[in-house]
Amino acid sequence: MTRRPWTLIAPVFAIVYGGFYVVKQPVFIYYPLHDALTLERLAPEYGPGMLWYGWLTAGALVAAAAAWLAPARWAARVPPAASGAAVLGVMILIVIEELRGLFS
Amino acid sequence: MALLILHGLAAVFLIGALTHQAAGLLRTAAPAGRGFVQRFAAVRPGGYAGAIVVLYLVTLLLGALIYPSYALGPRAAIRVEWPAAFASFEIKEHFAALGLALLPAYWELWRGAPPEEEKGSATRRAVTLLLALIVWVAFLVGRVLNNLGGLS
Repeated sequence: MTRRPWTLIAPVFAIVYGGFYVVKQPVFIYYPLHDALTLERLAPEYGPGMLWYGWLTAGALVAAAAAWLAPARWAARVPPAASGAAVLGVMILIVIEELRGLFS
Repeated sequence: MALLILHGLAAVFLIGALTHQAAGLLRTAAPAGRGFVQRFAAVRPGGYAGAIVVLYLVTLLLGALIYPSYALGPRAAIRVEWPAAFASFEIKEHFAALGLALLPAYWELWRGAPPEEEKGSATRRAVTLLLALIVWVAFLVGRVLNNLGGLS
């Protein structure tokens, strides 16, 4: 049975988002104080930089590209349950990381 | 402020719809009763899927629009005064993004579900309950942070 490419979206999104989160690597940074988008961190006087938009955009774009471009046989190998499992796995990872930051 | 209120209202509609759906999924085969809980769960879960997808996207979009106000406003004070609440918000923002990742699977698993199989596969139930968990965490953390923001 051939599965639709949607089976790739959540796992790819979760892996991309989780990967950027773990290494704290910006895709782009939004500085709301100056309403500026940059690719690198700016000096503290520019105010807080927000990485979340970049990670969200990267996860969504890569997942959409994977679903659109990957051969159908790849999607067929990914069971529907992988969507929930991948997202749950990254959620647990994030909770552990945040708790580590809280207690370190 | 208007966007924050709209975000909160959309979240209330979303959590209501998703909780109804989850309760309908978890309902046992016990005979229908007249109590509040039994009536609350006595719904066709599939009927909520489209509304939940739209409400999730609207709530996320509104949250993304007001997020800079939090970053420039109470975020720094909350980080110092309530570190656990600060970490909770960090978790909430990431959970919300991962919920977006889950939406296509959620939609596909519910789309075209025949009424007699509305509870469906274990995968559909698991994905729905996971999305409900994400929304509940985000909702509760958001409300608590909103209140703390007023105190800081």
